[in-house]
Amino acid sequence: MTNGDQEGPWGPSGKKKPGPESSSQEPGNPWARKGWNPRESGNGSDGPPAMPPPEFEEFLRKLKAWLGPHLPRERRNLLFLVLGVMAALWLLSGFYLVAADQNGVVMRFGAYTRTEMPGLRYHLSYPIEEVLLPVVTAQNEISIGFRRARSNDETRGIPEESMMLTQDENVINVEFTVFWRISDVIQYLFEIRDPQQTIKKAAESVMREVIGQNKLQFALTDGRSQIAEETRTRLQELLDDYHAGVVISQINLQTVSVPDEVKAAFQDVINARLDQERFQNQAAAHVNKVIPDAKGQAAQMLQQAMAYRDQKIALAKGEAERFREVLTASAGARDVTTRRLYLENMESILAKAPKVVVDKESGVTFLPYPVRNLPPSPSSKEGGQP
Amino acid sequence: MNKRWLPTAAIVIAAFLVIDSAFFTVLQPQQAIVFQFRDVVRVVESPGLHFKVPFIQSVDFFDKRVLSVDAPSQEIMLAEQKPLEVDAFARYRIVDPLLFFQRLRYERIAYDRLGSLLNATMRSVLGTVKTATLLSPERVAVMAKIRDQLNAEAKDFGIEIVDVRIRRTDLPQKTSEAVFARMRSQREQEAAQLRARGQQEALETTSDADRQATVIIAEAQGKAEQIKGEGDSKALEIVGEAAARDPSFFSFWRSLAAYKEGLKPETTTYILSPDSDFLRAFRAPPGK
Repeated sequence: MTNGDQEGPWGPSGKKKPGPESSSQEPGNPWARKGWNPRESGNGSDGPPAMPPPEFEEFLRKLKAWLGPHLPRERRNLLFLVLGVMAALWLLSGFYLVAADQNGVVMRFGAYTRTEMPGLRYHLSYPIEEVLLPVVTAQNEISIGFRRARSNDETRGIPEESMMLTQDENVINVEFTVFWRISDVIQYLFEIRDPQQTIKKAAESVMREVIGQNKLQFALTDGRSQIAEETRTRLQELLDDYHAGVVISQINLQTVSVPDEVKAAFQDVINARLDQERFQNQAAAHVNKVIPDAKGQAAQMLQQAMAYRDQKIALAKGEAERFREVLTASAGARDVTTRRLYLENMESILAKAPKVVVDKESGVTFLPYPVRNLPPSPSSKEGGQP
Repeated sequence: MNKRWLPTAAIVIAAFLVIDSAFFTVLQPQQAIVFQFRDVVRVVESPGLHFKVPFIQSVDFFDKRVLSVDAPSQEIMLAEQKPLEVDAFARYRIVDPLLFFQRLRYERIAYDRLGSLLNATMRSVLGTVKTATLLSPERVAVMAKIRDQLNAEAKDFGIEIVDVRIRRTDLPQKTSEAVFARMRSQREQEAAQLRARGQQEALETTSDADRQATVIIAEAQGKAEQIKGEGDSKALEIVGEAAARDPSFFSFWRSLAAYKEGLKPETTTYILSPDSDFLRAFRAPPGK
């Protein structure tokens, strides 16, 4: 893809066409090179452009034939020689080369005659025929809403071109590039006076039309490719209506964004979404902590209960077994065993405790037993009555 | 010798000039009018080489291509008192060069005239159109209406309006401020909603989890008590079964254990009667 910058269809041109807005790469005035300035209609003029030498030579040639008899021989021969060379040169000027990416458009006395394909061609020399050599295969690009600096790849936004209204009356910022090339050379050259500018204006108009029929959110997110495609289609239809002779290869949306004035608020919505996620994550973390904890606690409780139960049963079994053994052991001598058990146990029970033996007849006046006369007990607590 | 050249040269040059003035070329994208002094003789529309009477007749050229006129951005009041900055362009062709020449003469003048006509037509058409209409598929119909109205006037100038397209419809400065404010507040609302919803859902989730946890523990507690009860009852059963073999002996034996455990020597003082069974041997040694 090359820009139509250095070479307009009609070759490099010295002057840049004066236009209200110049897009970044624009072929120069198509007609300038050949010296055919499109006369602004009505300025009036009196005939074809100034006569270049070849025309003059032709007349001189006719002249020499007519003059021949009136001139001395040597002079005549010299004149004939010079005129002959000039005539030959003039005829030879009809050769031209159509480059591989060009088409040759031949005009006879200004009227379109034929189109020539790439190669070495011949046309009847000026002023009879002349050829224009537009570059037809190059892909051109028009930037709308921004400009790209030549030196680096930085872009500079142009708010007047890029801010647009959406269907829901919001403001959106769209920067895009139109890629186009010539499809019909004749139409491109002769239908519209400034096809480049027309494409640009039409593209702006169509893009705004399409954006104006879509809502802000859609255009910012899912709608981009749809909008680009629809713009391309409608722009193509429009240009075909104009018989512009171009084909729009692609519409490239560089940037679709909200204006700076509201960027912060839009960013905050994104942040809010993140916050929402964060709250959800926190809640999930809490759930993941609390329930396993509870389950753990529950399991522990059950374990403790089971341990209690097993312990209780084991103790009971122990006690039962011990009783059974005593029972068995004392099977033959129940009374003796009983008495022995009694004495042993009372012995150990009473061993370390303070005791007082009181005869019940004389003991009436002793009771209630004054607490302070008790023999001292090992602990500080006063013993109670049995 | 030189002297003899002059008359022939003069004749030659004169002839050349005559021929030069008799021919003119109309380029492919052009059309022309041939004048005789001030009168129009004929209109030439086909490109190529043409003849005219030398010197007496002159030619004026006009562009046959589609030309364009821009109406620069202006503030237009739409229906419902809504102002909008509208920028449009019209594309036109000179279809009747004679008429064009008679009415407008120069393209520059045509540009200005058409420009102001375009503005006026836009005002009158858009004054009855709502903003919403321009932001809908009806935009095309509106542009067509402007074109048709403009065409009616332009016909008098030998001009055909090919089409009119609205390029920019932008909000005037103060309105755009209001729109930005609205866009901001809409976003703020959305942000607040999202956060509130997030918190609410989080709260629901955590409360539900807490509830579940409580239930789990309560159920476990119940179960635990049940298990303990099982333990207790089983223990009683086991001991009871053993005791059943000799209930009175068991009662005696168990009491002894109870005394041992329950009456701690440190905290109990015993007041014994000599008649107690334990001291029986005091009174009557065996064999007496």
